[in-house]
Amino acid sequence: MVKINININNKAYSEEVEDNTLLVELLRDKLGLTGTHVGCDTSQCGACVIHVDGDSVKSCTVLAAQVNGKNLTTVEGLASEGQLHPIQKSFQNNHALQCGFCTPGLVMSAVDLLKKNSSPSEDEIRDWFEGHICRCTGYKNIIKAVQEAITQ
Amino acid sequence: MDDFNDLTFTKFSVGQSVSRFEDPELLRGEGTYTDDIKSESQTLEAFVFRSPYAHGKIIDINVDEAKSQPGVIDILTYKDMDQEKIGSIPCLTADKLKGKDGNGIKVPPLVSLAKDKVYYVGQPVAFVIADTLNNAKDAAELISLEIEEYDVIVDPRDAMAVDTSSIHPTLNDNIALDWEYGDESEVDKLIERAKYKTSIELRNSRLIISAMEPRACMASFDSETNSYDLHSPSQGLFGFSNILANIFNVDRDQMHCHTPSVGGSFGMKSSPYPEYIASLVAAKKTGKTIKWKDTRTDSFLSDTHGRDSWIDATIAFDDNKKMVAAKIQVVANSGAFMGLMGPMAQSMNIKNNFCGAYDLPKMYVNSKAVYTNTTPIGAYRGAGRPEGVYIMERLLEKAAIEMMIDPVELRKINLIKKDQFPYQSAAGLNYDSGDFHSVLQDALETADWANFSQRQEESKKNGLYRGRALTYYLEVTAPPGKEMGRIRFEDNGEVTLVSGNLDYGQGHLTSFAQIMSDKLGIPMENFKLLQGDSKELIAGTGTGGSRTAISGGTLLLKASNIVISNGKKLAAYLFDEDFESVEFNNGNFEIPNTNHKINILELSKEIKQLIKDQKLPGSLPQGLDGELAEDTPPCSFPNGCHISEVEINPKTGVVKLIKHTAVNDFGNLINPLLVEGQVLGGIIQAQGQIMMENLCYDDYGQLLSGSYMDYTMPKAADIPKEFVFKSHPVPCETNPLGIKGCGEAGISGALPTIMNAIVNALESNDVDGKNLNMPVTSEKMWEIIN
Repeated sequence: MVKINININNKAYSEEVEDNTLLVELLRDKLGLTGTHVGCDTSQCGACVIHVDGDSVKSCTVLAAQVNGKNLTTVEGLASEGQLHPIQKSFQNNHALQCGFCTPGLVMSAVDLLKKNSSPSEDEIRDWFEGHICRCTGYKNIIKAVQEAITQ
Repeated sequence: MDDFNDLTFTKFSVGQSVSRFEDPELLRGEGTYTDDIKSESQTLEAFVFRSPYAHGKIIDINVDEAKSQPGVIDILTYKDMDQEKIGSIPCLTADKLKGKDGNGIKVPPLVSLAKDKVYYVGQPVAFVIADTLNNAKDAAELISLEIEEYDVIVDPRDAMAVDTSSIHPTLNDNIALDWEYGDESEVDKLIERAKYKTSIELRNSRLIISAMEPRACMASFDSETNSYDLHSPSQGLFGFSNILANIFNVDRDQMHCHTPSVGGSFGMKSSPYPEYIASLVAAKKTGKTIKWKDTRTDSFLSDTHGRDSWIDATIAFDDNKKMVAAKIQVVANSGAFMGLMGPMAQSMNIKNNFCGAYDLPKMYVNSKAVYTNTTPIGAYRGAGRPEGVYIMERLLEKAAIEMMIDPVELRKINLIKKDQFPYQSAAGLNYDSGDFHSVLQDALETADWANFSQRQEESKKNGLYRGRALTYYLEVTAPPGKEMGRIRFEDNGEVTLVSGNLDYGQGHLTSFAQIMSDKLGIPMENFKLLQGDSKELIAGTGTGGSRTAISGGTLLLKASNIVISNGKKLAAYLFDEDFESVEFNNGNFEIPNTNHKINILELSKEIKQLIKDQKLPGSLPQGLDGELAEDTPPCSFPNGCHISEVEINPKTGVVKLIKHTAVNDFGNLINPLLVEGQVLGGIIQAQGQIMMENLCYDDYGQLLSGSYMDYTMPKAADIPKEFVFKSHPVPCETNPLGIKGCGEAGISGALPTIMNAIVNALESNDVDGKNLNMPVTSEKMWEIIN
């Protein structure tokens, strides 16, 4: 067991975790933050993307013990004071989600993209989402949602 | 109240691109998928031990050592299933689809946990229950399965060879069904005598359906009432709960099924699966709540797979290049067991959708459904519709080349004309409406078909082969069944809509609320949707076959007539006037030219108070609520024209889908934004099937493409940059909403279009592409060109 202190969505947690506990398992199973999803077991689908110290990370590929002392943001922490984050709003406006399962990961990834590159080209957006799989939407509206969020 | 009516009718109504009411919750990460549910009681975790062998006789399943591991509560095998007298998962079309011999489908029992034999890699053998998932997984590694291995057959063409013995001991051969439609000798003669004939051999790749939410379930058992409770994904709980009740030999009310948010399905989650059955048995045996979730890797083995058939097709034309007859022969892989819908997709649905929008006089279809040592095949978006359209359009593209006629011209000659409606197709279906020639013309203009050669020249300058193709698809959607609609006025002012469909990403609440808001004048935000509770359902067709707006929409519309009728009676009572004098306009019950007027929600509130005070006469309806269950409207026939443009880099073999245009007749649109979303998603699934997806087995029945590492899914960078969606509606005449069903049209229209555009790019550069087969990977393309 390892003891870790982390900050998630501006709330401090002190947790005992097994050495082999994945970060996504800690979030979902122990802390009840079920907005972060598990869609594969080979780091391909991106449904589990969260932010660790501001960078998007696949939480299925990180051990909980590795994030000791770090600041985490999950999809639950994105909206502020009940208002959807502009990216979330843009996803809704552009019908960029259908079943919604891959959506939290895509939203977190998109927020990180616009933080690192405030005006990405269409190609840059398409390439940025290389680590995500969405079976429903055909991606077009996801790209459109990010493009719309750039202008806001 | 007048203000809110104005708001209602300008902001929300049928035909508007309303953004979804479902979205904020999903975007905040507050959607509740099955694995997100926390049980209030103590929960045990389950892990499935699956067969690592594709075919063999079970000598021994030894779970003793595994059972003694830390945290392990129990390990179930077929013995536990036998003890509980658990039935098998049925094939619903077993008696409906008849073979040439007049008999139904041969259906060996699909049991929850393997007994006597294993038939495919991934078949559930033992079900490990432990305090934690890791303990269950660790214990599963100590299970010893002793097998006498048998020969493995993965290809249905091998499985149906005469000297091959059946994988199922109870059957004489592996052919589950040898189905036909039409008069073979008549069609043979017509083809023989025709001026032109074109034949093609097509592969319809095996696919992973790949809904992004892996399957999961949570099961419990109440020993006092002897009733089961299951949370799991589904595509509609009415049939699902009935099937499970039958399997457990209990009454329907003893099998309470729930479906929360579903993360995609595409046909795959419609069936009760072995793991759910094992979970229910385990819940009864342990007295605890059982949670099971699939891993993605296991889902490659355990979810039903899609497609997988081999097709020989021939079409014949007369001197005027008008179709005379067509013959299709299908060998379809069924996997080791028959799925819920049996081989419908590869037989009846190919037949129904092949002739499509074309004036084909005669057709013959033969389809053989064959058992192999592979995961059972189930429905995948379109389920035979894309195949039917694909076969026709591949034939037409090849025929146009062979007959040296312009591909547009060939389609124009053969498309059904407007004055031919109502039209009976060669498949025996009666089309109510359509204007195929206008839609075709619209699509040609929208896609700038006329100026293609300029774009082709541009591509050529860049060293690229550019190709284009068009498809005219027509699908048969919304197979009839019995559906329900219930409208319930809640105490808090919300209005609950209940239908036997099930949303797995489509946005049913938004669409239904638009219809109901228009009809009842109630703000859209007031509506809630309830589909995922079997106890609420009195009928249900589920969601599949592009049917929900037609089935659920129509039944809710009819239920709203009951609401209005009830409301008129109740308003008349309040007004102390005649029931006949009350009118319902824009959400208000009123008697014109009087001061009698009450809003529907206000009326509901007042009636509820009267009931509470026991002041409402028993002779009146006890509230506005309306409910009914009845047969749904007949099938509808959405159709349209897709046009693709592709570029091939001959140096690398890389194929890019540059532009895709889809002009569709879906009849009236409830919500264009959602319809476009359905179409776009389907188009990219088609692109995946044509250009990359391909599930492969080796000769030992092991998956060669067993994860997303080696099974290629379409990604954001793969999709066309130019996408044009257009609606060209011709309202459907056989349902009250005038709608035609859009859920599967994208994949049906795009599958042949993308492929034929690749064929065209090759042919335009003197490379023979007429017989090209999917998947068109860059490796395959490079080899063909170089």
